[in-house]
Amino acid sequence: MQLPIRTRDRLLAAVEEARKRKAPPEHVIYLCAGTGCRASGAMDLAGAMKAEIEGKGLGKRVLVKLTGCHGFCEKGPLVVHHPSGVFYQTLKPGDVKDILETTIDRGDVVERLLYRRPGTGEIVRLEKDIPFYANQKRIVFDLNGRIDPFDIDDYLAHGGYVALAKALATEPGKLLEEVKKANLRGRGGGGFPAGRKWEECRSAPAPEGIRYVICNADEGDPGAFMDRSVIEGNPHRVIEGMVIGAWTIGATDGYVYIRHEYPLAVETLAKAIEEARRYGLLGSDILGSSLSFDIKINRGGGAFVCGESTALMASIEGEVGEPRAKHIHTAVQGLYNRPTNLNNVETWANVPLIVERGAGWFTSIGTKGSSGTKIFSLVGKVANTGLVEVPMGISLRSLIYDVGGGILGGKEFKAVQTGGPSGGALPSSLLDLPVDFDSLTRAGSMMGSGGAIVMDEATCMVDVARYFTKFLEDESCGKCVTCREGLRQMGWILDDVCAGKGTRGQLELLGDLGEVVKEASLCALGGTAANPLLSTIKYFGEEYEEHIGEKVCRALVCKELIRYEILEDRCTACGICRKDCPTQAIAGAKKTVHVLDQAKCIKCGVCYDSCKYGSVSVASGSYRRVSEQIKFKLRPVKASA
Amino acid sequence: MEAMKKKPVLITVDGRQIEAPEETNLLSHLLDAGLDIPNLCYHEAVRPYGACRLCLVEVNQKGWKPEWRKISTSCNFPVLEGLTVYTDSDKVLRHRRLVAELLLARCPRSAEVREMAERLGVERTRLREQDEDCILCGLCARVCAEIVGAHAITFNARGGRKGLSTPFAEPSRECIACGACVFVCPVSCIKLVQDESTRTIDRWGVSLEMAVSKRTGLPFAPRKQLDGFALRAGLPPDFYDVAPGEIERR
Repeated sequence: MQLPIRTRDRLLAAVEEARKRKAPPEHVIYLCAGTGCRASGAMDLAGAMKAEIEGKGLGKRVLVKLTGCHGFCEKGPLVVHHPSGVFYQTLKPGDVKDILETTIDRGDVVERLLYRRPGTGEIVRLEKDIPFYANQKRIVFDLNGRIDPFDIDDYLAHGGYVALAKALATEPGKLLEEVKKANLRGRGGGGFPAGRKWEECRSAPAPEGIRYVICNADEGDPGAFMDRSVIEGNPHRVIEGMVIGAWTIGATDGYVYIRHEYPLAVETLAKAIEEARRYGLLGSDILGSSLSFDIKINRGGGAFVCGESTALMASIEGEVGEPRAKHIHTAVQGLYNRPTNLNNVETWANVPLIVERGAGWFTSIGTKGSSGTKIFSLVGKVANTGLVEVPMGISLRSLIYDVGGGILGGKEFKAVQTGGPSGGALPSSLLDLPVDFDSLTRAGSMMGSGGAIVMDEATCMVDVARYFTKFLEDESCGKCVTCREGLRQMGWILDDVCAGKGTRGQLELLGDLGEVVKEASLCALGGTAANPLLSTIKYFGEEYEEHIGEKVCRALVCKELIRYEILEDRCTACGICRKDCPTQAIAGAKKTVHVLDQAKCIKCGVCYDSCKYGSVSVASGSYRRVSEQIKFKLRPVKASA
Repeated sequence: MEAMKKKPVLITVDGRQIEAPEETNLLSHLLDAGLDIPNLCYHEAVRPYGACRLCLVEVNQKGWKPEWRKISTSCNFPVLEGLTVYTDSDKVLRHRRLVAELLLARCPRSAEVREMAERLGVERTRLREQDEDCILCGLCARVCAEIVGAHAITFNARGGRKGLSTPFAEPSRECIACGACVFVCPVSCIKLVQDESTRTIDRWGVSLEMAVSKRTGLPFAPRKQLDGFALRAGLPPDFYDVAPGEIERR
């Protein structure tokens, strides 16, 4: 292959060549090497697998391919075997021998490593039959578990950059119409139509002919990692999207603003940009066209507020990451006061797909107002945590129960926080709400960048509001009095409510504060910062009432409102809680019922967790829960006189 | 100067028509029109920042439905043709009062904040009181950077921990003790102390030697400030032998 590639035909030839060169051997083991699986030992597994294959002389027949995130982080480290599609989960280096002997040599499956349906324990052999995968619609994420993100040829072999070649042969105005027709809405939070933003940027006066496109990879929501995983798994699709955007808009320079805390994503992206330059897909006269465009990586310091467009641009300029007023859109005057088009990672990754398959195909997925799919990071008290890509308009119920496998440990669903910290908590009565931009906003939450934190009955909604309010206070840039002081005061009041010191007057004050923070702050961080508070007051008002009026926490979370007790008719005097208690608050002896001294108790819950006989209870008002009975040889001792 | 180049347009403020140059600062025209718009972080000499949120108004832009109204600070909102501004709607007044309560809770001992709150009908705050003297409006940092050019003061940290200090809160090497920050501070929390020989601003950790007029024998400005000005303006070495006021009288 002669580099750089200078014509469309040569690109198509390169794609063919890559396809041949990258044709899979007899067996391929796709091993997830995303950050999540790496944290649970994927690289040790990969090392063991490669060594074993080498040792057995299977190098020619078996390829181990390290891919980006497969999404099913809960079950990592994990592999998928090609061609069978068999899925193995929670692997250890010790499992390698078994897999190679059984699956590669004999064509059979190692049963103990297969997925089992929660509840029934029924075995599922193939990746595609696992409900977590079967209920998804993967278009952006399709290649994530199949290609080596460090190898541009692997992307080419899957038809990579063909959309770019097609775009460069199309008049920009036509492309713009296609993106507008596709109704691609921003995946980063606001859901603003990308086509309209592109158009505004394209038609904004650019005196020196300089326009910028920026990819927002400053993913700061707690529990969200979809942007990271797209970049780690398929960086070229993001680059391809940005180059198509640059051609359409008339941009000359691009930036990816990415968190410094994402070392693997930065490394993957840097390699991808370098390879794209070498192949002539970035730089001057891309694929022989008149487009000259290059991308720089700008690493952010990890401030949540830098995900806001104007703060992000200030940060690139080397200024403090504080939002500024946007009476003139950044599409007209953005980075260095020049027309700037900012889109999120996932938005950019959708662009090549729209160009390649057309707006009609894209709008056939999802709902009328929200086309396409959305990637969610499904976390919290859900059975299948991980990354999922689902069509817009799927119900929350389907997202949590079909894809997510329901609530962990058979508990009751209580709420789902969508849209990250600035989103809102939605209750079970809204489980049938379609997940799209407009429905979520109407319900007092938002799509955000796609975080979905599932909470069960053991979650206190006042405590949740307090957590997110304090997170946002900490992450507020601190410029506006309303956001800085307002969130701080809200946090303090919520402290009082959780401590059982709240008053009705404070509840009213919270509502007032929420309103002023929302309406009188400058940027979207302040504008949405009251959502956790306002949505929990709206949907879980009775919990606030209980905390304030009855000094009761029904979820048994707020320490000042709960009380642990050892049930004397069930205590076996095993002594474990007494030994584990960090404040020596438990008295007792062999064959003597244990007693908890309330004055010494710090309500850490260690006794509750350590009791194996179901003899510790935690209560608040009339709400009560007894520790799980794991051992059944219940031989209670009599209470001492 | 800049304002002269801009096209004059008509805006409606509380039902009254006002002519103002397009894209200039809305608050300045509201104040010029004699309206009582509360503000603490605004000063005509420096770029608006929008920190104190007191100058809130409701606006309706040309092309919007008549019933649409958006809350915005007026200090960083531009004059636009056909703009309608409501400066004393119930909502505006309600929000301003809560902002005053927030400021009062932050700086309960500040006479200026108390006075501002009282002006808005806020006698006391329902919120938890702290004991800060600074409202973090950033006027000191802005005047130091934009007018004085010394860049001695900066914001630090963010959120509830945000502060205004010299870099790393160390005694300032850049500060020339000119006192511009003291002059613009709306809550008088930057104290300047001067005696025969030195001028001290404790907040920035500076204490500088005063230059003495060769004519009157009286101190008139920190030597470091005069040296800096002379260097920047290319003045003769004996220019500041006497105080500038005395030269005029000569």
